[in-house]
Amino acid sequence: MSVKEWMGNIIKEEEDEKFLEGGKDFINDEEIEELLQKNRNPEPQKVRDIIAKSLSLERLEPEETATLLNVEDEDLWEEMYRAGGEIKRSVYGDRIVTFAPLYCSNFCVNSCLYCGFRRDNNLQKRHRLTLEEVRRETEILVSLGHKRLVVVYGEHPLSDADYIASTIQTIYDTKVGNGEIRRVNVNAAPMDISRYKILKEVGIGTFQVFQETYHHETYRQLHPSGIKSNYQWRLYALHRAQEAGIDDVAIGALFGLYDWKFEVMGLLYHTIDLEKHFAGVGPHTISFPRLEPAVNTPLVEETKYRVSDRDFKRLVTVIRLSVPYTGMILTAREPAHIRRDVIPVGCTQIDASTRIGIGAYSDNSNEQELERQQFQIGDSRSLDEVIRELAQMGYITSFCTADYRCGRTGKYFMDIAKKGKIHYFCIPNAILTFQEYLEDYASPQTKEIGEKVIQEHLSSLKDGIKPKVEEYLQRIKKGERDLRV
Amino acid sequence: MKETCEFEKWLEQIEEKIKELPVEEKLEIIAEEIYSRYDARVWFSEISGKRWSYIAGWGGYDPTPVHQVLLSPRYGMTIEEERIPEAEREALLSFLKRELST
Repeated sequence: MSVKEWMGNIIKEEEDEKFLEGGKDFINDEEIEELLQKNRNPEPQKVRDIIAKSLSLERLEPEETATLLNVEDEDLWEEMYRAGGEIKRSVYGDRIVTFAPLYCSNFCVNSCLYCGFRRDNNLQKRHRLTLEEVRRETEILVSLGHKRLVVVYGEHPLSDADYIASTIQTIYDTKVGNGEIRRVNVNAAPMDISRYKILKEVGIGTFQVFQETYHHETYRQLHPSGIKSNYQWRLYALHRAQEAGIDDVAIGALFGLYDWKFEVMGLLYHTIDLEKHFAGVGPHTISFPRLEPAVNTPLVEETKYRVSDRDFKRLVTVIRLSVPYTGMILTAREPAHIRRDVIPVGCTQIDASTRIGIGAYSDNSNEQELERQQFQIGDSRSLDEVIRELAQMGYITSFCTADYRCGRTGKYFMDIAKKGKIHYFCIPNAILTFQEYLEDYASPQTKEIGEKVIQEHLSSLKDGIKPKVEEYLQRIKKGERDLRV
Repeated sequence: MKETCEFEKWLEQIEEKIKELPVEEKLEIIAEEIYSRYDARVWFSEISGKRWSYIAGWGGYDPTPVHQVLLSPRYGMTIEEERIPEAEREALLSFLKRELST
């Protein structure tokens, strides 16, 4: 089958029709602009009432999010930053989940003007990892201590569902000493239901698709051709994934393509629509990457929607307050000092030891090579360094993958998260998986501070669970692995 | 002997109740029955590789160590604590495995 024929067989619009209302999708650009306009200069009391609603772990309505986005008063922002941190602690506890990205292929049929992988970018060196190369990359990631990956693919027949499934199976089959990857999340192009079912069978973690921009006209301009030029096919990608039985899905927007306030509203509307159609199960995580330089990609320098560091912290905070119970991923696109500043307003997951070149982990080099990367990253510190810093900040690093391996997924997970009870599971499992890391991979400095953090968190556990966690810790120290509650 | 008969009767009643129902509804009822009888919360999952996806049953309560039981290549049960008496456990698991294979 030629690439052109393959492209012609991807989109099945009939799979999305039932989700449309009057033939329209759930992003009403005019309504969003109007809400942002109407709620300018909000009264402090109104803002505080909304903060209180977030603190009670209720998802906000669009008008309330629009109100928060319009706050200008710096003191009110400080209150919102504190509330974001408090919400995150009450839902998930003081733990940060870590993972690493593994880019498997940069062949792509699309022409996204902001992306280094775009089809007509002649400076991009193309490669698709063989399964042997996937195994080698995985061995390195396992040897660093990782237990979770997100695998990333361009949209191309060379990286169709069958290839993706084979790479994931290879990753799951790879073991090094005590280590293995226990959860593989996927960032790939939107698919039809039959392709999603292929991925479901190999036991993926979360399937993520980022809309990039929710603004229809901007989307049209930035995606001039290729499958990705179909806005609705992408917008309903995760509805179809849920239809296929993938019950953990993740959304995101690429900040810098359009007005950041609009994009936050888009993420909220996306959450609401998923919750509406799937019994309250919205996104498992929300991502908010900022546009970063990419080889031969002038749009990145020319955009008038670049998001400042100040606004970035604000947008992360408003997402946290708007959807209090959802995981939030802060990636290594951001430099270390921004991550340090933004994690405390409510982030739950970060990547570390990140390399995004195709095959870059095997190179054992710290240098970035833009010709085989989608964009430039800002934080290439090692996993050990990142974990040490998190420990110094009082966070326990979690490699926990227990939930999706014992059925706490989809509606079950969301129901617990909405009740603010996820940390009952997260903290014990964070302690256990962190102890595994300290035993098997940590530097002496990280081990020293890590043990202290474990003791602090252990003392805060409920009496019912504490003896079991203490017993498991002893067993881990004696060599057992993968103990979980 | 009396207890055993009562247990078998209980299983028969469940079998009757869930006859002809789709698998998720069956498992909801079984989870309720197990909770009523043993005060043990269980939930059921569909298995795909390492993933156990929740499909029915209890969840969302205080954590206790979980026990996972493979019922078939496709389905598994997670129980918060091992509260089912040994004498009844095997028969119950056989019943569940039989129900999930039909």
